[in-house]
Amino acid sequence: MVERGFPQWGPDFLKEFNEFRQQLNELLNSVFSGDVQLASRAMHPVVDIVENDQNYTYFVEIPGVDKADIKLMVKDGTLYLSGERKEPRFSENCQKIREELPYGKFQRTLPLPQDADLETIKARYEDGILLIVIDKRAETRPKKIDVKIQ
Amino acid sequence: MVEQVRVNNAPADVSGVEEVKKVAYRPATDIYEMPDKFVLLLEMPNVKRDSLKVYVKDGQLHIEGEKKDYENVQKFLLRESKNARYERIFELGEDIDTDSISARYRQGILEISLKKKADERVKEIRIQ
Repeated sequence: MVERGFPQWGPDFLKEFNEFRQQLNELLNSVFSGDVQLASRAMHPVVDIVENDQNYTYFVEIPGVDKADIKLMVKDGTLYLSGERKEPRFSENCQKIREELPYGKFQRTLPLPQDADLETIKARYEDGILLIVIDKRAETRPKKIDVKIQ
Repeated sequence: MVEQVRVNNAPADVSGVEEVKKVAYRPATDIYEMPDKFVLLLEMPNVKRDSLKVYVKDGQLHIEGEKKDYENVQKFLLRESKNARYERIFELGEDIDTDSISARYRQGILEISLKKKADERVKEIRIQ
């Protein structure tokens, strides 16, 4: 499922919202009618996006994932994240007695702001967070002018 | 191990302006049992190292931690994370040696090892 743009960027926000609501209803209906396995078993990374004067920072929560298992790609102004969280292996005679963490493949598609300078994109993984920093294009940054009072 | 659900009691004698304790978020947990120990894996991304606490009190295992604050935020374009403390409490069985609990934090996962008391370990019997 491709995620839609942020409300403030999409002129067709209401239309997109209605489409989203329809998709959500379909999903809920299929879950409660037993057509699909409960959706909570799939890993769905939680994302925060922070803006300041200089840049945009995406914080993606993907704890317990090896760096080598994370793929990040930019295409057509969209950020594509995918990867896999592998279940840790303990000794042979090990029994799982509680299971709340979903394992397996995950993916998210996130829109990039129009003024993001994609040449500057940087990413690092620390403490279970994938941090993606993208500078704003210089010409769109607010200029600070000090006005002298005479 | 039976999990204890703690009820946050509202302070009864609050006067003036008091900051309400941040609501705690129970981190998702996997538990593995091995012949000699239990291993707990808790999903706790972005935790401040110095806020991370693992301790045993009255036979219960307490796990606490606070998330790091984001710096230099002007605006959230998207906010899905729970801005909260992590807290979870587990009731420990008699068979756990509470003096030999170890924990490590890696990739946003807190791994806690709880050794079983030596005499409680299951002895495997080979069938000949």
